[in-house]
Amino acid sequence: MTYLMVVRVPADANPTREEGDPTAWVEATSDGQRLFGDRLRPPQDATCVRVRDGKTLVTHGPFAEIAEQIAGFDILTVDDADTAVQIALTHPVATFGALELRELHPFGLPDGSVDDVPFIGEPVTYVLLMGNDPDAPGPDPSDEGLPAAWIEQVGDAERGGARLRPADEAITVRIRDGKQLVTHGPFAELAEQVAGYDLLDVPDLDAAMALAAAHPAARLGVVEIRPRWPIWEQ
Amino acid sequence: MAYLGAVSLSVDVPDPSAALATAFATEWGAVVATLIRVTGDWALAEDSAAEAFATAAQRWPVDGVPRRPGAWLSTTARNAAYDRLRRRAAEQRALHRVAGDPTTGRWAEDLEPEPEGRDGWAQVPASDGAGTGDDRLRLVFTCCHPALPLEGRVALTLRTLGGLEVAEVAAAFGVTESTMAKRLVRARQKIAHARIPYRVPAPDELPERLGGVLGVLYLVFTEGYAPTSGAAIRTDLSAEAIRLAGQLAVLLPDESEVHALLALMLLHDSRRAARVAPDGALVPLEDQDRTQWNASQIERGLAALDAGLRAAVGGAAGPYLLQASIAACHATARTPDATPWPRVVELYDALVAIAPSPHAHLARAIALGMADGLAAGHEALAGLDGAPRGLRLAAEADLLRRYGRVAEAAVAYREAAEHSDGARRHFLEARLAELGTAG
Repeated sequence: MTYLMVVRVPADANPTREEGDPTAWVEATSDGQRLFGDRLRPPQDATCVRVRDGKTLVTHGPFAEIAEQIAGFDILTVDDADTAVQIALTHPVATFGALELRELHPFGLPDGSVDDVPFIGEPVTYVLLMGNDPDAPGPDPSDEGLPAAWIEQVGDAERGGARLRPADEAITVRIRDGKQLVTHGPFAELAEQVAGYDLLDVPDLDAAMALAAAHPAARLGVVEIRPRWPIWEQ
Repeated sequence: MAYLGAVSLSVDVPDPSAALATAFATEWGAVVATLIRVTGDWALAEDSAAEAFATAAQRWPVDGVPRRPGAWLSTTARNAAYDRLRRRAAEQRALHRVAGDPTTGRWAEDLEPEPEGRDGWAQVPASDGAGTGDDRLRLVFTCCHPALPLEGRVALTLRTLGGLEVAEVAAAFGVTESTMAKRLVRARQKIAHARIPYRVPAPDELPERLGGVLGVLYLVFTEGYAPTSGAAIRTDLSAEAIRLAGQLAVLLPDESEVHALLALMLLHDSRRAARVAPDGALVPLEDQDRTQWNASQIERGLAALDAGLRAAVGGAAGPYLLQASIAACHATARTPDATPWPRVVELYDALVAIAPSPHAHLARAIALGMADGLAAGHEALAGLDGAPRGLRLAAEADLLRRYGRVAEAAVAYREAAEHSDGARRHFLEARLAELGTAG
């Protein structure tokens, strides 16, 4: 089973450098459980793209204004949900933020194959977060939102990605006062939840915006573009 | 002979402070734009450009105004940037030595040329050379990138492109200097972190992106023309918007909407002296003393409109071209009665077809009432369910008053005032009072 682990951190969290350092966790999960992951630039560096009536609408900031924003992500390949939870509990952010585990739910492609390439390889410059948008128009019945044509269009810039199982199937992991808190369901009841992700390697934001606008999710919901923020960078 | 020599000298040598003011208005954007391309550091570019102008303020009165002020300023700014980068790299090295950290400041090392490499780094086109126009356009489009918050776009446009001091921009928008400084920092950070490219958009993106740029300039203009915030100190934002639009029209001569926006702003601004009464109340268009309108601004506005119309030949008229054409109908009417209302209606018809807004619909209804009679205006207004009630009532009152239906107008004004607030309510109450004295 493959999970996207969304790392959520409250805006007012103020961990010390040691408390927040995931280096040991990354090393401990490097035996094939963790495929890839990284920190993301903060919400004010996010850009949202929607396509409505054929027009591209660009807004700044994340798609949901909430206290606990997405600060990073990891892709885990494990045997079962319990293992995923155990790995999440050892992540340093569990003590001051939340880790939301979302199982991948790959699309079936027209040729009968399954689009299950969660991660192809480095380099990754942007993470696209596909979001639900409560204000989005209902999809045309003939519009299945399949990204097959998009994947072809992206070509070599695509570094992996997948649709996620619905938010109510999420598992959220926290540690507070030394107690492990594992809840079923998303980290917060929101209309706007992450519905999928894609990893891109493109030179700049305009290129990322053009690809985001071409993805079916921009038509059916919203695509948030978050620049990757490698952990070694200040 | 000596006397003649002195005269010719005084003609040849420009006044340093006037030359500096001119250079600031024409060269600031180009100097900053090129430095941003070369260093990739917005704050460094702004600071170095400011340093160059400060140096000019000291040197020009002593040494005389250089023959090519733009080239002098960009060389001085480039050297200032180079010195700052070198100092920064040295500081970083010292810091790492102290901290015992073997890694050095990566980006500063990358940027800092070897001593012999300085010439290569300095091969930036002088401000009057080819390519600076491109740099300035890069700067314009990056400042107004849609991924930046609108307030950040406005701040960058005025500070980085326009060269206004942070304190001036802050005062103009009624916020503290530190708030404005933070806004600028956040916008620059997003440009760097999200990698907003420093370039002119591709031709297929250009119309939409240009629309965004013009929107920012028009917002700056209207903020100066009809302020929404109660800021006490105001830099002349309208003049700044007109200046930047004029520069953009030179850089993009084939874009109809750029000329059109310039025309629209000039034609509106030409009424500045006539639109406010001595007591500060707004004077409506038909009551303005038209001899107070600024004739040279109208002339410049009509010329810009002409350029916009010529650039639009073969294509569709954009929203600014239509609005500027409407403004020109008013600007060229010697008296309110001479207004070519049927033509105004035609233009509003075209405007609401491509850019429907409550204001455009209301203005169209009033124009229709003036062209085809009160009943036609009434009918058009009655059909506007979507418009805010206060605005619709005000339009109705306006139409009734123009046709001398004083009693009905008074009722409509009173009701409209109840549905409005701020300056608008004030205005409506003043109209009501006027009706009272007239009737």
